[in-house]
Order: sequence, then structure tokens, then C-alpha cells
Amino acid sequence: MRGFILASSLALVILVAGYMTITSSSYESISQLSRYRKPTMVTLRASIESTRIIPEKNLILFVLQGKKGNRVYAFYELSRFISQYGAPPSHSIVDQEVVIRGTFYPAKVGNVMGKLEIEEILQGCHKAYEAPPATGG
Amino acid sequence: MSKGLTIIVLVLLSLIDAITLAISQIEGPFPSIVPLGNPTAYRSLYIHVPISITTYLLFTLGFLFAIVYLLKRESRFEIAAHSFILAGILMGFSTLVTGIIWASESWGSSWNWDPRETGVLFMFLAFLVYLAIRSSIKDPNVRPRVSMAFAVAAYATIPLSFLAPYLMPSLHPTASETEMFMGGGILELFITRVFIVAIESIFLSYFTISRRDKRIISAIIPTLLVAMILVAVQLPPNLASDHPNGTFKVQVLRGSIENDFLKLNVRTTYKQDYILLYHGKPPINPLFVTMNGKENGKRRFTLEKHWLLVEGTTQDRVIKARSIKLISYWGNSVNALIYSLTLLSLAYFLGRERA
Repeated sequence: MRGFILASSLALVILVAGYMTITSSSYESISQLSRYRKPTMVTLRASIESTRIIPEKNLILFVLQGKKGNRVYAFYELSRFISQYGAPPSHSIVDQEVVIRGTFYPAKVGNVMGKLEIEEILQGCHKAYEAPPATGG
Repeated sequence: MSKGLTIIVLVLLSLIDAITLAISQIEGPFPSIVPLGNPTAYRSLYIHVPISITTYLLFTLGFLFAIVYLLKRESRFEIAAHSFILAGILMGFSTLVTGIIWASESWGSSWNWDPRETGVLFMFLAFLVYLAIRSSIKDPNVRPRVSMAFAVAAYATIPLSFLAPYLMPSLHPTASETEMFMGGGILELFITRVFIVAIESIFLSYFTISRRDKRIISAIIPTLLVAMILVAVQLPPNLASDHPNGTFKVQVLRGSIENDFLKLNVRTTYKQDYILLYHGKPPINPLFVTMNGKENGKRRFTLEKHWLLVEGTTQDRVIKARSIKLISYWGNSVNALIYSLTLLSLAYFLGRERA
């Protein structure tokens, strides 16, 4: 019986610690960025409202929009994007919803929350499973 | 079951495993349109997912035997629980590594602190703590009681990691999100892979602990052999670059069919753009798909994002191809090798534990 009491107590501790670990690794939304007052590393999940290529600065500007209409201007290196995806951004290359990791610089003006320097564009695989299967080799 | 029969059963399981592994990596269906990376990377679905499900099953068996031990206090249950947990730790490590290799292509980064990733890492660390606790207690009367109690507690990490994508946004899909794809004819192969990996690993764990025999390791040879052949065949094209004698490695940007010719906009490994013309059987089937889900009705070209190995001649930025072949993502064959080495190490370490 003592073994089960020890196991149950430990299980509770592990459960709480595990839940806190997992929730802390979840992605932030644009509205959650308002809590930052200084540049912070974030992993953000947002919808791409529009995309602009700035060739003279070798940059891509993604205008990200949150559910409440807040926006973030996110920048990514154009040449790096092309080397990863084979072409500049288009609807077929980048999902409408993305997960982005980078440094957020808060500068709230109107509904614009600030600027984000993207380090990684992460893509979930959910959309892949909406496509029919293919075979080949 | 006699030793001889055990070996025969294991060899048979390994043969089925090897055959289904080869089929899944050479002919296995993958999503025709993917958000990022080489679409063939999704063939890791037949390796990574069965390994991760098997990890959960092995820990579940370890958990059940630990509970039985705490109730009955018979050492055979403690040995069984420990062995399944050890097997789960090895498979859990394999889950993490194969996932990292797949994510580096399909998610854009090897490690993303995704809730499921974090959950599996947490689970793996919890069971490593179990190992540390078990090896640090010298008293043979206290050691099994404390370690089994901790094993039961550590099992709390299993539902956490499994449910993580259901509890919060995750790069991992939930079962319902893959339903549409699974309905497209891949379910049989996928289920067979899950079933065979689970049965083989559990059988291997059980008989390694109950009948220590060096021949058990040799029973894994068919799986190892297929994995090594896959590496030998699939890895070199990934390492290749353009060759002056008319072999090109290109990535497809866009494509269409014009006058029975496959016309592709491609980019070489040296970032040079070409038009590729090919008259022959396309290397992928189907060549066009109508997207399900949100993009209902939209027709998409399925060779996009694929890497091809092309033989042909060039003139004025046009490649006239004699043959084109899909390049399978390098990580799939490496994942197959990691999986077979995990089975080997499982037989080796469990045999040593019992010794």
C-alpha cells in the first residue's frame, strides 16, 4: 500500500510538472505579444494577411494578423527563403497560417504590435493530410 | 515456447517487418501536396509513428507489470516491468531521433519545442530518472519497491505527451486531422507497419528477458539488411550534385503538361533555373490532384517541391530529359537504419540486463 501511496504522490507531481512544461512550450498568439516591453524571443502562431518582397533590402515582409485584428510586421531574409523553398513566397509555398520563431521588438502604434525578425518559419503538417496520397519513386 | 521456435517466430516477424519496411519506403504513398520540404519525407510516417506507438505500448506493459509487482511483490514481475521500460526507453530515444530527422525537412527545423515533442522528451527524461533511481539504490529489498513505484508514477507522462496536440496548438496533427489522408488507401500499409513494429518489439523484449540467447540478435538481420540497402540506394542521390556528363539534380518549382510533354520549371543544386522537357511516364502518380479540405476544388501539380535525378542534355537553359526519377528524402533511409539498430540494441541490452 505504501508503494501505491508513493507512486500516486509522485505521479501527481510529474503530472503537474509535465503539464506546466508542455503548456509553456505552446505557441503565442499576436494578442499575447502586448505583454512584452523589450525585445523578446517568441514562437508565434499567426495568419499571414499579406506578403511583400523588398528585393533592394533582400527582405520579405509578412504582415501577420491576429484574431482581434492586431498586426505584426515580420521580416525574413529573401535569399534564405528562396534557398529553402526554391522560389519567393506564394500561396502554394507558404501556408496561410504559420508558426514563426524569432525576436519580437515591441513598438505599438495603433493596431500594429511591433516588428518581428524571423529566425525560423515552421510549418505544421496538418495541411499535407488534406491532400490525396501520391506514389512514386 | 522452445528456444528454436522463438527464434523462428522472431525471424518471421523480422522478415515481415523488412518486407513492409521496404514497400513503405519504395512504394509507400505520401501526401501529394505538402506545406514544406520534400513530400517523400512523409514516408517517415511508416517508421516514426509505429516506433512512437510502440514506445507507448512498451511503457504501458512496464506500468502494468510494475502495478502487479507492487501488489504481489514477486521478482519476476519486477524483471518484466524493468525490461519493458528499458525497451520503451530505447524506443523512446528512437522516437525522438527519427522525429528530429523528419521535422528538419517537413517542419523547417529539427527541434521546435512543439507540445508533443516536449511531452515525449519529458517522458523520456522521466524514465531516465527511473533508471538512475534503480541503479542508485543498492539495497535489494528497497530497490524494486522504490523503482517500481517511480515507474508507475512516471507513466503519468504518457497520457500527457499523447494528448498534447489535443490540449494545445501543435505542429503534430491529431488523428482526426489525418483521417482524410488515411482514407486514401494508405491505412492498410500504415496499420500493418504499426502492428508489426509493435508485435516484433514486444515479442523481442519478452523473449530476450525470458530466454537469453545470442541467436535472438541474429533474428533482426532481415530488418537491418533492408535498412542498409535503403541507405545504400537512397542516400547517394541526395548527396549528388550536377554532373558534367548529363546527370542533373533539380528541384521542381512549377510544372504543366504541354503537347504531351512534361514541362517543368526546375532549379539545380547550383541555384540555376532551367526549363525541363520530358516525354515519358511521369515519376509520380497522380500528376495533378484536386485538394480536399479547405482548398476544395483547387487543382494542384504534385511534382512541386520534389527533387529529381535527371539524365539528359541542355541547350539554352532547357534540359531535354531522357529519364527522370524522384529522389526520396535522405532521412527516410537513415530513420529505417536507426529503427533496425534500435531493435538490435533492444535485444543486446535486454540480454545483458538478464545476464
